[in-house]
Amino acid sequence: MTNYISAKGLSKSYGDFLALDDVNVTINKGQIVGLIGANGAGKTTMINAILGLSSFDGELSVMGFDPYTQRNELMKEVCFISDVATLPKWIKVSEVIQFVEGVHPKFSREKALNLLAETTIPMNKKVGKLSKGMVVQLHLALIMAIDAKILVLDEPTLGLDIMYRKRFYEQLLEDYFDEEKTIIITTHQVDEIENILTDVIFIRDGRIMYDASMEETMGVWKILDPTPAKVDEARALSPYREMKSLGRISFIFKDKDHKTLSVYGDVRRLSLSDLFVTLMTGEKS
Amino acid sequence: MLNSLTKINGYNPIKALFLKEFWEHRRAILVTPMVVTGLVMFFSIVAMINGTGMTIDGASMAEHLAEAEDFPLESSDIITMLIIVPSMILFLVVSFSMIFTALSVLYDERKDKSILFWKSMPVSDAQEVLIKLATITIVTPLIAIAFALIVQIFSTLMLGIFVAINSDISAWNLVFTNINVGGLLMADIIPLFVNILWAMPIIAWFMLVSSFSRRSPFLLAFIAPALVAVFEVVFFRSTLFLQLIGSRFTHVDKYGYRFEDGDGVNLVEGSLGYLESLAEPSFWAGIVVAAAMIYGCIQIRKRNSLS
Repeated sequence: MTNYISAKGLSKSYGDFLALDDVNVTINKGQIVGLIGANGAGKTTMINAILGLSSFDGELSVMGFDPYTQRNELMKEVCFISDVATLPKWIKVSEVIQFVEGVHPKFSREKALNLLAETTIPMNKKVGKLSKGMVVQLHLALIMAIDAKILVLDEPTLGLDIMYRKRFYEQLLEDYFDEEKTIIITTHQVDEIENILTDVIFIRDGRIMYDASMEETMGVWKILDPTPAKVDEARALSPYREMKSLGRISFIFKDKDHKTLSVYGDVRRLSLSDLFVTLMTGEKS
Repeated sequence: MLNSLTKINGYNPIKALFLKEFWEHRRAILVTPMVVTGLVMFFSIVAMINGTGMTIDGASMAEHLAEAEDFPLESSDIITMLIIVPSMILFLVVSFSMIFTALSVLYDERKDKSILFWKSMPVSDAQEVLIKLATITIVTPLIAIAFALIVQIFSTLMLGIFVAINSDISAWNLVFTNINVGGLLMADIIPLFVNILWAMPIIAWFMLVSSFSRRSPFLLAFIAPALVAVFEVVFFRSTLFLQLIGSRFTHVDKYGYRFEDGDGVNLVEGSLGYLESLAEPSFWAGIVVAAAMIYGCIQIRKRNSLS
């Protein structure tokens, strides 16, 4: 099975509010997908549906399971770390390791202990006595010791300092990811994950606004910093959007090759955050 | 032994879930009865040193002992009853532990968001809720019974020493070889679990409140029924609802009398009498109501994970 997640006409409403509106998405094995959107765009709603934490309308299949009715089966193949600290404060580090070993058939205690050996987390302390960074490290060590197919990370680095954040993603790539697995990440810190993504999905008002591979994205979208003399010529090529920062003008182009553009100035790849702003503000100049 | 019991090696979800509940509610399940046991022992020693002795049913220990000697046929049960009495406080304490655990068991995990962690594991909501219920209604009372046994063994020793010091009666004959061990165990186990079964709708109600309450399940669990009762009294001039709650406890009077059957104490008859109460239709009505509320807990936990 290469198709891990498929949603057709996935919707979810809370009263009158449509949190997800006819979402169609396919996520395959070996992908690292960035799910990006503003607060309240529907990221968490979509993730909750995938994880079986809430009911939904439409079709949704995750690893061949209906997430809502088969959550306990699904969780053998899917792991997640949500946006808030969820490890209970009263549990000891040694106890939580025993617990996961007891309830998860695909957990390797050895792997968890090896991962924890690289940290300074004490085994006999309660989670409530650990620093915020340690709690995230502990949670990540537990999750990485589970040989699951899909890993969902909802704002995993929220509130962590920059040292931990960098280490977090490094470790994820080095010690966890392989082509049989799929990782879905939501975050506000787009720049942080840009380099590790294989695919990106933008979501706004419960709708998928953009869904493409990073390779395609980088091929299609470019940013041009024209030399001052050639600004007007470049503008004549009908850029998708014009940006001004610090008095300099830049143009964002879609479907123009590097060669054509480089005549007018420096051509750079468009960062995901700029692409996000470009697509989400929706203004075409 | 406790160490090997808490060790999990490999996949064993039921054991892991029970241990998780034990770890979370260690204070209510283990520490509280342990402290009470310590206090009971301490005060029995103080009472003995002070020489005031223990007074039960308005009679001093010496009087009870004299009575026991007069009725040799009954003395076994009387002596056994004497050592049960100091341990009874544990059965009172365990009911408070059960109430507090039931009120927090589905509330705290939502409050500290750990429900999202539990839900990231391959365990169903039904498994979680049923194991929480079993922790409250089986594990908690069993631990209390274990502590009651400790108190009872201690009381036996104390009573033996008391008899040896204060009378000419042989402590060996009157106390140590005279205890009705079968009757003691039945009296420890049967009434407690029968009472719990009768109270199932109340326990399930506490769990249900803890599954949906946004804040302070404790207040809601008591205020809501109180309001219903007041409403009924004011508007219908009836007390049906209160009688319904009361019906969970009437079996104690109705069936428990056999503990003092005719001319003395009878532990075996008394305990078996409790079992007969399970034949009442109102008992089974309560079980059905409790089952419906537990089903509600499972459904609410399934839907309500996100605060």
